[in-house]
Amino acid sequence: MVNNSDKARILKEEFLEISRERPVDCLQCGKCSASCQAAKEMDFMPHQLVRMFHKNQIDQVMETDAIWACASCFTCGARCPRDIDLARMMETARVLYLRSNHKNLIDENEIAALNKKGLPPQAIVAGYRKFAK
Amino acid sequence: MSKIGVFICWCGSNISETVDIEKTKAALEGLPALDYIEDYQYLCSEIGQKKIADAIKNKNLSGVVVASCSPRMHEDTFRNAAEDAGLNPYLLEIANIREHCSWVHSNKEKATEKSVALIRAAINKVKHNQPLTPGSIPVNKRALVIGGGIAGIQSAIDIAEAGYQVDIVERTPSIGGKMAQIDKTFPTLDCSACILTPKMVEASRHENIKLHTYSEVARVDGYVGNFDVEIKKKPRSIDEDKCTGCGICLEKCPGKAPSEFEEGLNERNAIYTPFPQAVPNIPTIDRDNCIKFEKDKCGLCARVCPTDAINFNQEENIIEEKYGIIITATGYQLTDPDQFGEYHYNNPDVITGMEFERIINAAGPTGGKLQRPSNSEKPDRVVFVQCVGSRDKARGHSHCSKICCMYTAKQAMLIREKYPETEVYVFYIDIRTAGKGFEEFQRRAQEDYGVNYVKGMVGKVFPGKDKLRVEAIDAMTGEFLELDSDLVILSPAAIPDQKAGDVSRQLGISQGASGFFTEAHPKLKPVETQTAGIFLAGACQGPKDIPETVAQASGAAAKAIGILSKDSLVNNPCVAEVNQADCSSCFSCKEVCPYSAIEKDETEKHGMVARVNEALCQGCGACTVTCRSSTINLKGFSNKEILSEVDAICL
Repeated sequence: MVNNSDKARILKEEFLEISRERPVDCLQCGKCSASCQAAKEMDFMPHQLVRMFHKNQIDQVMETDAIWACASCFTCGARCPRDIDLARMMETARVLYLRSNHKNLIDENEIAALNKKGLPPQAIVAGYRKFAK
Repeated sequence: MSKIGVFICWCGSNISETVDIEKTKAALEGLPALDYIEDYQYLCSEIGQKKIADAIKNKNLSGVVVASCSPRMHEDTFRNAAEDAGLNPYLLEIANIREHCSWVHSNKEKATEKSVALIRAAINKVKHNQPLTPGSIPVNKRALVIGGGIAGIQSAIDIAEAGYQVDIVERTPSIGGKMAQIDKTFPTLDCSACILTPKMVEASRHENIKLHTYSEVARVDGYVGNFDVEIKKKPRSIDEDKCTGCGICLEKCPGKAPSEFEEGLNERNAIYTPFPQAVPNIPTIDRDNCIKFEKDKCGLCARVCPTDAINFNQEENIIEEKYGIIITATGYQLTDPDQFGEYHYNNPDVITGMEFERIINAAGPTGGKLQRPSNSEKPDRVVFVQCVGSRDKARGHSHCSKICCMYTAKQAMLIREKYPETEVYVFYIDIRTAGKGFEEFQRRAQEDYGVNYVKGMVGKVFPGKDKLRVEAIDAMTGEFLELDSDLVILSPAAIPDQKAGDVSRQLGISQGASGFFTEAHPKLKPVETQTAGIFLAGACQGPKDIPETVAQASGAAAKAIGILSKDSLVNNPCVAEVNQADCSSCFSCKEVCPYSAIEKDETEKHGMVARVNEALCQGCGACTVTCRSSTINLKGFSNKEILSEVDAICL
């Protein structure tokens, strides 16, 4: 079933905003899964994850092992007949997971101080990206 | 003094429900130009038409406005009625108060106001309308068919049977096209060549059909009824009148090249006929691979020819001919699977569906035995891959190639029929078998022939030491599959012939997505193009199977005969007209004209100025808005007429 709860829809919106990919384009041909070198290690296959994204089941995707088995090799996106970059979706699921499960690594108020301390801005941005919420 | 009558139609209640007819009439009645006003429930009915005709006669009207549905619907009906009553049909205007008013509004008061405005505009326009008379153009009673596949052959035979001369121009040395290469047809499993060759022979023997094989269209000028065409006859290096088709030259020739007809699976000689039933049965010398042309040695064919028909000095020949109509039947080709690196098409055991047709054909390179091209062994496992470049907007084409699901089912069954011990897998995205008897046919492959259909795509074909390892998934179960297979058969996307772009430019017809020729209307004009007198037949318009191709070819022929049977054609009088005295000779109009209807005219009085070829002009009006000196007018839609309409609404 398509998950139409408010929570699921908010998560879907967030997912679409971060990934900039459209699960609705998917034909479910399975090319991504057949091309995936990590598919054998996954509890859900890549094309099944796209289907779950499409059905607003982002919270379920976030709980899979599959998103962590993804090696970000981008073969799926390179061969997708619908021009969907599945690796971006996978990364989005990981980002959403990290954001929802962890406290901020960096306190917003500390940024100015860290900056002064000479911490490279890239490091601050990277830390902030993962644990923003 | 113009006397104008207005007729308001209720269209049952389609109009009258939203537009207050009485109020509309009342609002119009005071207009000075208005002489007569009437309303009726169905003006398009015979009674309604009679009301208009009677009013024209009795009230001596000089212009009529019919407030009703879209002019696309009934303009012709009302104009014919006016003409019968003695009024020039172009003095009747439609005010569209249905599609433009009642259907799109719900507020009755405002809709009524709008319908009054629309009718006033039409009244203002009709005051300025000029009577127009269609001109006539003569028709050359000869047809040109470009492409000699089954589509071109069928069109040509149909036109020839109706008694008109037809020329077929075919690029390759023989007519027959793709259908000649195919082994069996679905869903009846007829022998393709057996049903095609009688038609090829009929085309070559027909007294009204002339074949130009090994020829191409070099130039097309003119317009419906009067196309001027140059046909380039490439040098065959054989004197066609002397050759008897004995074939002795073919046996002796030492030059070799991959056979196009056999999809490169074996070699042909440099002097060759593409296949034994080729029409005409006259060999061709492939100069690129002939030793005589390469090194000026050999010449064996000339020495053995009993009729002295070999002519190494033959030159390209340009034939000029006039035609009334042109049928485009340039067909399709398969996309090159090389661009999908993951399938390793460069491996000899990875082939296309068309290569398989040749392998399984009794007259083919293996004599009909299913063999791996690499080692001539019988395969134990065959994997079919669907949608190679079809439904693939990223690397291929977004369209569905339509024929692959069915020919794959056929090929899979042919394998299982001849070699029951060979395992067959078909990997697909969706199975599409819309067509008479098609679904039943495809189910037989699964139910009766034990073909393994797996929903899922192949990710990779990896050539191993001996076998090809196919990595794929079963999308239904989520299972990752690795199959060692002996032969992989791809279904590449069907795309327009490589020369379709050239033909499109020569003829001035447009190509849509994926390059297929665009029909004039997807529902109601499926064989016409936007250019009058040019018709489409077969897979050049979109992927088609044989029966659809034949049906469309006959449809195109019927349309062609409709034109050829006339001595002259009536052209639409609503064409552009240049006031040459005011033309600034910028020729912006010539550039925007989609029909190449504007010509440079060298006049004594005004120098080089624009002129409209009325036979080519379709009345789109692009030139009138481009013209910097506003000197081009579209008859029936002149600037004066349009502006007076605007005045009626705005002032």
